[in-house]
Amino acid sequence: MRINLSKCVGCAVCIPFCPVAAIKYTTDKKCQIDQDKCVECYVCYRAEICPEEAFEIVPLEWPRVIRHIFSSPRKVHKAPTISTGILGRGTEEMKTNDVTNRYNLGEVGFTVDVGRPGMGTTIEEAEKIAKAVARVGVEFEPLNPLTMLMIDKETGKFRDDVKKERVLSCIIEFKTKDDKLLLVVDALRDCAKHTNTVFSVGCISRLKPDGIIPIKATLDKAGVFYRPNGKVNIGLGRTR
Amino acid sequence: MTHTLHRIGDVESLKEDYIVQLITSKQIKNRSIRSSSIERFKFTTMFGGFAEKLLKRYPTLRKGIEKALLNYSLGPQIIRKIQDSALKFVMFHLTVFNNEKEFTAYITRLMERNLGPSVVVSGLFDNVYKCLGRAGIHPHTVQFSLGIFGRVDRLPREEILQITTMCGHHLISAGLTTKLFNDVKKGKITPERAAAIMGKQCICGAFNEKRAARVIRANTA
Repeated sequence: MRINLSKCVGCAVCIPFCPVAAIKYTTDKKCQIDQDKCVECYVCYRAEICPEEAFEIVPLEWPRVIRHIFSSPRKVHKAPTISTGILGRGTEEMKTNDVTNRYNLGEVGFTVDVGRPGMGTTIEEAEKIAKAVARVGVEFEPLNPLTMLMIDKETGKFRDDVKKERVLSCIIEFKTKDDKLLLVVDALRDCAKHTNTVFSVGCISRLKPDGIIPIKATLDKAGVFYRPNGKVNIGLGRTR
Repeated sequence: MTHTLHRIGDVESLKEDYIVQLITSKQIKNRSIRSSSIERFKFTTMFGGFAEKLLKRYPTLRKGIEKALLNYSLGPQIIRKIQDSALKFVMFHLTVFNNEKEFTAYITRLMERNLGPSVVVSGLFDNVYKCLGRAGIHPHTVQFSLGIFGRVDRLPREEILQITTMCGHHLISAGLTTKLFNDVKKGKITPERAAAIMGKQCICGAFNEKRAARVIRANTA
């Protein structure tokens, strides 16, 4: 994204709209986009806030197009070789677990939303977290756009050409046996001490037939915080 | 997507905030709710595209059609199948509710209609389970939010996060939210107008404008 400086009148109305504060008012009394900070989410463009229509979409090449893929909910994910066909950053996760059985009893799923809320991240920062949980022994979700950027799913290592790209957020999605739940939480807590960004952690569990949530007792006993609100797949999905 | 998982707020703030999302797995049929309905109707590209634009242009009309198709079933089986397809074409993939009654009524109807897509609800677990119990629905899978890790010292203040975390993809900036809070404090705009401006940036529909207005009002008094 760029601002056409010949059209910009320096009114600065656009500045607050950027989710990552990438628009700056410069000494020549114009607004400019910091191209390193910009995550190509197109919020500024879609807001239609500029009275002079100075925002211009720039065709994006690889690897910069990664920013737009992960940061714009309207962009369908198309990795170089595989496409999830999913809009936005994520995957179906637990949302369709009633038909996909992606997460089964005896397993715990995790979604680590790196850069959320509102700080953004580089893929390099996400890699640090991916590597840390890989050491615990996890299975990264193959139908996840971020997993598709890994060159080694055993170690969580990403391809070098994307690491410097910045995105609004990206989700590391994986699962493991439920007896490793606390090991993963400890690994994430350790990552938290060294990261330059924030990440929001989700924890997924299938319910037993009697309605018991297997991981809840583990979380409660270990004193792991979880919010009073969350998501529930209510089991109405069917395969045909 | 985790987009309705990490909504920040205390129990009081969240108790009138429910989200229902419908999603058809691409792993099963490799199509969205809407495209499967288009195929079943065998819409031409032109007609299907026209209908899409019309519904997008008039969301109130769309809401009315959805409500009618959801709550009133026509008689013969073949007509009902067409009605179900039309409903899946029209219905919002994501709907926000501000009270238990409407939320419970909606998920009850979804259960009764048995349309096929998976249904995910977001909200306070205690309240959600109560509503599911009333509807006779047994939950399948849950997702907890373990909170925010990392450089939390760099985050904006809580009332700003209560707003920004309501956008499913965090497209509402802290900067815009702060500015609008200040505008409300100065009496330039109402909390409702501020919430509408914020809501315009959220394109997935997860933003709860009524809750946003309540949060703004409570923090600008």
